[in-house]
Amino acid sequence: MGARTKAAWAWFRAFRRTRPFWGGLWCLAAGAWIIRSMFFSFVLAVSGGWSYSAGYILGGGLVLIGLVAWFAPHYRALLGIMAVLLALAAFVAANLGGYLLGSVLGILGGSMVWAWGEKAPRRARGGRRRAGTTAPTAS
Amino acid sequence: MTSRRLGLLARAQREAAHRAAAMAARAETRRGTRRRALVPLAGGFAALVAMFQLVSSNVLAVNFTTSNQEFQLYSNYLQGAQAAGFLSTNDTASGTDNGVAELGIRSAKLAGLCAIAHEQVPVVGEVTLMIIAGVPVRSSFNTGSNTTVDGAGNPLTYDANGLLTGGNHITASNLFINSRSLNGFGNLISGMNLGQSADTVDATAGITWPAGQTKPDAGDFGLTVDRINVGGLGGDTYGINLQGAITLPNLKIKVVPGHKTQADCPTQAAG
Repeated sequence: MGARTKAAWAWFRAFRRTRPFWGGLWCLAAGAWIIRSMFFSFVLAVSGGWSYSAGYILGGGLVLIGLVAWFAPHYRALLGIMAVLLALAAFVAANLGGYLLGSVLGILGGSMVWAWGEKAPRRARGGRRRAGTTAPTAS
Repeated sequence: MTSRRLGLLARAQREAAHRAAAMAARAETRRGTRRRALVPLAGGFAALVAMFQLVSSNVLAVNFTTSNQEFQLYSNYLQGAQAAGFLSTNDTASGTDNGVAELGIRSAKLAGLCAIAHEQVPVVGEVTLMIIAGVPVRSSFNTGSNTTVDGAGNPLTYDANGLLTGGNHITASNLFINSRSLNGFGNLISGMNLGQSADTVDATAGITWPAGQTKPDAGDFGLTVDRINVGGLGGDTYGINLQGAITLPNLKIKVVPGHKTQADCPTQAAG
């Protein structure tokens, strides 16, 4: 079983590194929290107008953006900005953005999704540009 | 399994392993959240803070509907024009029904609001969500007389008809309260009709019950009031539904550990 768990862990590591995993996670959490704070019955949500369906629409949009960030990350440029806008709209329309927590997580997750991309490779250990450094720098 | 199915399964496993290997190869390039995340992050938080300030200074109106949990509502003074009420049941998510009074107010002004909800959170234990707006709410009410001083000791002023004058008060229109009990001091209530047939009360007050609410039956007990003013309003409510918009000056939202009650409203409003 050791080899299998090792393979599963290696797969998960590759999964995390090839998409905006944490940004998507925060977007999912934000959407779930907003839906939870506006959790009306189906009848009310359908017939009640914007007051009752705002949580599902805005929270559902954030959940969808989180899922797309995980499974179709090539859309992240647009959807990151949309996640931030949905989180701000939820502040006005959905019980103050799920009592502020949903809005805060949405802004954080949306920014991380939008900004995910290739970074410059890390410099080798101790190889700072400054000359004359004696203490080793931790990378 | 037939050999054909075995062959298909083997092919599927090979392709999955192929994709996993390709993903692992892609994972070797270093990718992550880049510094440019600070741009939408700072912009988003600045916009959030700005909107919060706008709500606090009575400019931006928000949509605030609440859920199936019972919470306590306190206000120094409720001044309402054109109200209607009837008795109904409230269906909760857990399936049990509760008897409630449905009260709809066409336009309302509140001298302070303190809404308290208790929740059990996994690690921390009991926490209290407090939503505070307007002037500070008193720590306790004397329902034998009208409220003349708010929670911070500042006086509340009224005109001859019992209407609030001055101050930075909460205004709301088409406010529907669904509550199990309401306590207070009725101050200069005018134009009250008790015993009106419950299905006509909304027309008299000029309001429409929100969609999804059980409509009252003809012949049931209903009441309409032209001017309703209640000092020291305290109630256990299942929900406030605002069909119109509400302005919430001096808005504070706090989640505090422990079990908080009305006595904590003035201290939480100050700090």
